[in-house]
Amino acid sequence: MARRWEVGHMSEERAPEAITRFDRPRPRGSVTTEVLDDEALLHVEGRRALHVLNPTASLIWQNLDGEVSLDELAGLLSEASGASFDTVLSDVLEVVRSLGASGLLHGVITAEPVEEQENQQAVSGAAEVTGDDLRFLPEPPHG
Amino acid sequence: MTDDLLVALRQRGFRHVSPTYRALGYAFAFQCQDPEVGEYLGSLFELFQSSGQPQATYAFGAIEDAGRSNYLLYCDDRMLDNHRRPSVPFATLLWHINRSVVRTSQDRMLLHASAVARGEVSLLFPAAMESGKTTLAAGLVRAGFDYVTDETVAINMASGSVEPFPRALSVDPGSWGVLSDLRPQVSPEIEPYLDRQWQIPPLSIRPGCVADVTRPRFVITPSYVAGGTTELTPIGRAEGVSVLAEHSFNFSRHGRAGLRLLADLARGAACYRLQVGDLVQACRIITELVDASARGKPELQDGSALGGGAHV
Repeated sequence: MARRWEVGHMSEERAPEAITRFDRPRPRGSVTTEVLDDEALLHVEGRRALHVLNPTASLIWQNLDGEVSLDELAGLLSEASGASFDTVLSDVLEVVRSLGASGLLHGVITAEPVEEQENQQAVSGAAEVTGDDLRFLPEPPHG
Repeated sequence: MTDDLLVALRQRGFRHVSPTYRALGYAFAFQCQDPEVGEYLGSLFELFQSSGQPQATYAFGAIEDAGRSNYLLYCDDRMLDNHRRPSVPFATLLWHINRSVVRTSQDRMLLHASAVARGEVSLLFPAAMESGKTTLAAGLVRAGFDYVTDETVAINMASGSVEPFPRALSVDPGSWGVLSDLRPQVSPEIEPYLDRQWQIPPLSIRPGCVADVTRPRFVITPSYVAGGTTELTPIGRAEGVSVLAEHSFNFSRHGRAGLRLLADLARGAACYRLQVGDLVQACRIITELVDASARGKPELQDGSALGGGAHV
């Protein structure tokens, strides 16, 4: 199912790999975020997967507010860290495209409906876990 | 519709009719043909004795078929098992009760984990099957900790507290050697029912050892490595949440509240991985960890591993 990606006054659909430095992404409304220490835990309502973001990915995620472009975000992070702008921008784009591919960003087209993505690859620096069933219980005894 | 076997079973009568038991959200009772089996089952569930109407009533007994006993297990009118060996339907009964407890307690956050406690502080051991959860809990209770559960940790969604589910500890044959002193003492008549697992009533390990409601302060995910070293290694709190969610029966059911609950739990806890090669040493390391925490010393948060006789 196609989703809409909003850039300024424009609205268009985007695949994760089509995200550019001028886009202003924001999280899907169904994503819950919890930050522990420097890491972030993301969960999409109704899904089993839990995403764990490393400190870098967590910092980027927390700044995706739909207002700041990735270009501006890279500038801020470059200034704060002392790393080169090009390096930071490259990292930001990689992380954000990965977040988009994981169905965590508003308006990004995903390969399959988000609700069905139970086994996708984890986003950058992340591990994915699942739960919510009786699989832990042993099988019924057999003779 | 009641089947003929159930009619035959009922016609033989039940000489033991239990009271109602309630384990978390599941209220049940059982009727046994053999009063000794009924008494034994009652000893396994004595901590759950309750009142009110059960949601389900089990019927357990034997009928004669072609000159041999056939052991039958029903849950209300539904046959759960039918076998020549009594240990099979007996194991099915315990399995079904455990599964029903999980299914009827979904208002809590349920973790596939064992847990023990000291005072008001609990230690959670989330892990996959065959990771040594029950063995570790049994060893720690033997070493002086209070017992919470060996299989399912239930966390109250409002308070974040752990509700005890102190079922009898189900110990597989692989751990009988290291827990040999806890071998259940049962009569020869009951032995044929127990050829698959030991069922250790917690109070037989130590009188008064069952925990009350506790606050989780340690998340320790164990793994048993035969012949391996015994080592405790700190992990980040986010990874701790990840481990808890991974071993939850109903994480996504609770949505935002579920993630918030586990994150809050981790914020107030220290998180570790524990490789267990030797049960006694693992129990000693955990005891020292909890003792050090109680004295206000750092809980091994410096990234170092603890093991091989080292001290906190």
